Amino acid sequence: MSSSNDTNSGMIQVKYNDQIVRMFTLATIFWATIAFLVGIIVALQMAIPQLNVTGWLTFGRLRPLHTNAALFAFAGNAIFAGIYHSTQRLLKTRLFSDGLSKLHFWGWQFIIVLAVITLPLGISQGKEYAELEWPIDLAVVLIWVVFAINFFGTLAKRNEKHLYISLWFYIATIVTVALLYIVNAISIPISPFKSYIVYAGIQDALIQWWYGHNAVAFFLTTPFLGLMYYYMPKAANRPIYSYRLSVVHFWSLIFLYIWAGPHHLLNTALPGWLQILATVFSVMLWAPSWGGAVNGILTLRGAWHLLRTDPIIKFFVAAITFYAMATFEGPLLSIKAVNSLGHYTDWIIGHVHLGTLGWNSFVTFGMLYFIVPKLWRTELYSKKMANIHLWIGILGILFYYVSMLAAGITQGLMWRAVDANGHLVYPDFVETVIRIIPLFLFRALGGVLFLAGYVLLLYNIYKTIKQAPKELAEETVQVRISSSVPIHPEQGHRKLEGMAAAFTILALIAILVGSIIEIAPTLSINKYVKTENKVEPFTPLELAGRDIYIKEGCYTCHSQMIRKTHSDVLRYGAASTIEESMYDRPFQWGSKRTGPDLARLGKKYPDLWHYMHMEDPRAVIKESIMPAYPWLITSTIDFDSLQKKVSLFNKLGVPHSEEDLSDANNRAKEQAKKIAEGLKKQGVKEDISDKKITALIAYLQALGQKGGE
Amino acid sequence: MSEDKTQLYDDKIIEGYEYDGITEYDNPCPAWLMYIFYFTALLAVFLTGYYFGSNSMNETIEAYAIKLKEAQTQKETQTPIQKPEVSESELSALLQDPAALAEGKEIFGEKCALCHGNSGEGMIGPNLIDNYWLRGKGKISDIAFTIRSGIPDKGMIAWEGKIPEKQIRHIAAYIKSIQGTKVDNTKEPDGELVKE
Repeated sequence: MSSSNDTNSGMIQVKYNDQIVRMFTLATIFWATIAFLVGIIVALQMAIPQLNVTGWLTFGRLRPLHTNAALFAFAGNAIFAGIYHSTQRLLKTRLFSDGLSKLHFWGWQFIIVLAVITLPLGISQGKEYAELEWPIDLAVVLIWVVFAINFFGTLAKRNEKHLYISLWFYIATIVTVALLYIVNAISIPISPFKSYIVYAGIQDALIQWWYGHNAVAFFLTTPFLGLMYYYMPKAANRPIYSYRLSVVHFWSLIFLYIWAGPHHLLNTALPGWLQILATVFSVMLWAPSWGGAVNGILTLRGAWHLLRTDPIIKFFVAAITFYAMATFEGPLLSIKAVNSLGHYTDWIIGHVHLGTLGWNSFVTFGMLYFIVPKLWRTELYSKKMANIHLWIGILGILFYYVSMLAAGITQGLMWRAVDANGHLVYPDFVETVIRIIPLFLFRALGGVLFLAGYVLLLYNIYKTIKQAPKELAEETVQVRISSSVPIHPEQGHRKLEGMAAAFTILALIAILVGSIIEIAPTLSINKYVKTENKVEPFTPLELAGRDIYIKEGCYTCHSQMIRKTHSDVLRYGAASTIEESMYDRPFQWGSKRTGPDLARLGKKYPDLWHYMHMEDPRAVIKESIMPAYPWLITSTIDFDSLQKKVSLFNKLGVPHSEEDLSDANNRAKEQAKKIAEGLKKQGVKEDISDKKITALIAYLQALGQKGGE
Repeated sequence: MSEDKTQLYDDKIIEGYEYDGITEYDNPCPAWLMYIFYFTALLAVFLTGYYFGSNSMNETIEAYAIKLKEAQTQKETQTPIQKPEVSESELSALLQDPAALAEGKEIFGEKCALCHGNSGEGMIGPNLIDNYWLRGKGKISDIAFTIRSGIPDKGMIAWEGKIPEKQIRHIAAYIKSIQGTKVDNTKEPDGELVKE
């Protein structure tokens, strides 16, 4: 066993499990490289469409890989490394189980490898940051449960009565992420590689953004605040500025954060009361978010000189500064008027990266420079190199953010510009794209700088580990078993800090309140659907096309949601209604308009236009930056699964016609034949009646054509 | 570590609680931060009241409806794309101007050929070499009008303001000049037959 009693002195010996921390640390460093590299590739693809070389390397498939790798592989491994390292020390005990720790590590890496394989293959649920198909979802949940057991098991055998604030954040993270991930992933499989989410349309939109927003809150904010609260005072060797602030900002942060999800859906068809709730709670998040920043920075009081001398402190301070910027910008963007300008533009991309590059990466880098020498029982190879990394990194982030801010506002203003005659000044969407392409290149340059700095970290860490002693003994400490009789009776929050289970339950309640109030009403969707707005479901062929749309990741660049803003309506047609997407599983409202909105694309262009456009977008729109999809013309439609799909949707309440239900396969073939014949007459030489392009054209031509306006 | 500079402040360490060497000060929440929070809370109350109390759950939708109506009225009251004062005969004179036709052809190749074919044989858009017209009667002024205003519903851009008026006329003249030519793969006729 790892601890042995020394009854004479009331002391026990505790050996920490540092091996698992070393493993997660190395995994963090490895996956970060991949996430950053893919980030640069997708950034360049947006400026140079010719870089979309083959199907599995197109933007629509690599973008999910980038987000999933950054989130689950890079941030995920960093969180696990930091949590396992700090928790053992804060609780003065070894991790609950060496076996579970190993299972956690290898299970998580296996999941990432599966993601790296399946996402480029287009195996996707079509929900942002939740693209992984159902078998991988199951694995994620399983491994998360392993993590939770290991963590709470460690809490149970702790040799320190009170839980330090870092642990509060870890608890909130573990509980909430489990809830978010499971609820958002509930789907019905039709094959090992394909499933459909149970929620449709607005329900799916709401649950997806409840998840998506709180992935930011509980995967990128709370665990990293926990890490900051441990590593910042450790590195600075200073007390935390204010215990009271810790308490107040922790509870207010987790309680308020969970409500803010619908701010991703402002000005859409989402019911107004949900939009106002999202705005209100987002605005109120400003101060609680800054609470962490203030407590972090002011912890340096009395040690400001470290800001000149210690690269680790510099990384933390820079990270906190970026965090403060992003958490001020977030509430600002949640105000409807600001949002109507920023939404769907690159401003949002800039905002996100202010957080991920500035906050998450820099906390991680600071942590790595701090723990790697400790874990490998040596000194950091080069402080100077770490300093250069810091400055190149900051420069890269600023290039990135400023170019995206400029691109977003420029394009947002161009989209809404209306002249004295009531015409759009830039009716041609591609004009607004051409204008910002130079900024795309600037952004890529920012990414390259950021990666260049990271390469210095790689070298620095490599040299550090290389100079480590061969045998790495596990850190062993003498722990006094607390006398368990407090000096004075404890009250209030201090008492709660000694009660892990009660603390966890309270945290769960805090995040459940907002979740239930916002989500429960939409589960009875009928309340919001006007029955007089009859909507026809998609035909089997159109459904096949919809799956191709999802597989190719079209939603990463195209929205299907015309907002209630006059510029959207002038450009795209009548505002989208809840009814129009009420059968959509998953919803495809989108979050970004690198290309135009497609909600009312149907019948706007002839079939031939779509055919040529998919084969080579630049053959019809010279300056287009859309990837070409030539393989859609040669690969065949999966007709055989259509029957299953249609029956499943019918069971979930979609009123498919009797004919479609009884003979989906042949109905689809008939429709495809018609489209193919039409195109043949117009000069398409190949027989495309069983090719994917035909299904996709059928779907695109059906958009906005099913009633419900 | 360097010397303790705690003395500079009134900070008081909370005794009896220490986590892996980390202690905490007994400082209050900074007042200015609390003021930010009170401010946002007040703002929240105001926004909620504004929304629910304005006797209209659809405040924003109404605001949008008004703005949209403004934009659309502007559109309606404005006379349809004004044809600059130019007579058909003046335009017809361009048919005798090889430089104008050459320029028209060049721009046609750049901007129009994507949809109407390199020789006007039609592709995505209708062919421009037969006597069938979807809009207008095939006069140069009609063609110029269509170029200016576009047919947004069918995906054709309004070129007014993007191509100078003079060049629009040259393109229109060029299109007129290729009437009746025979090209392979000509798209089937569409629209109304116009007999001259």
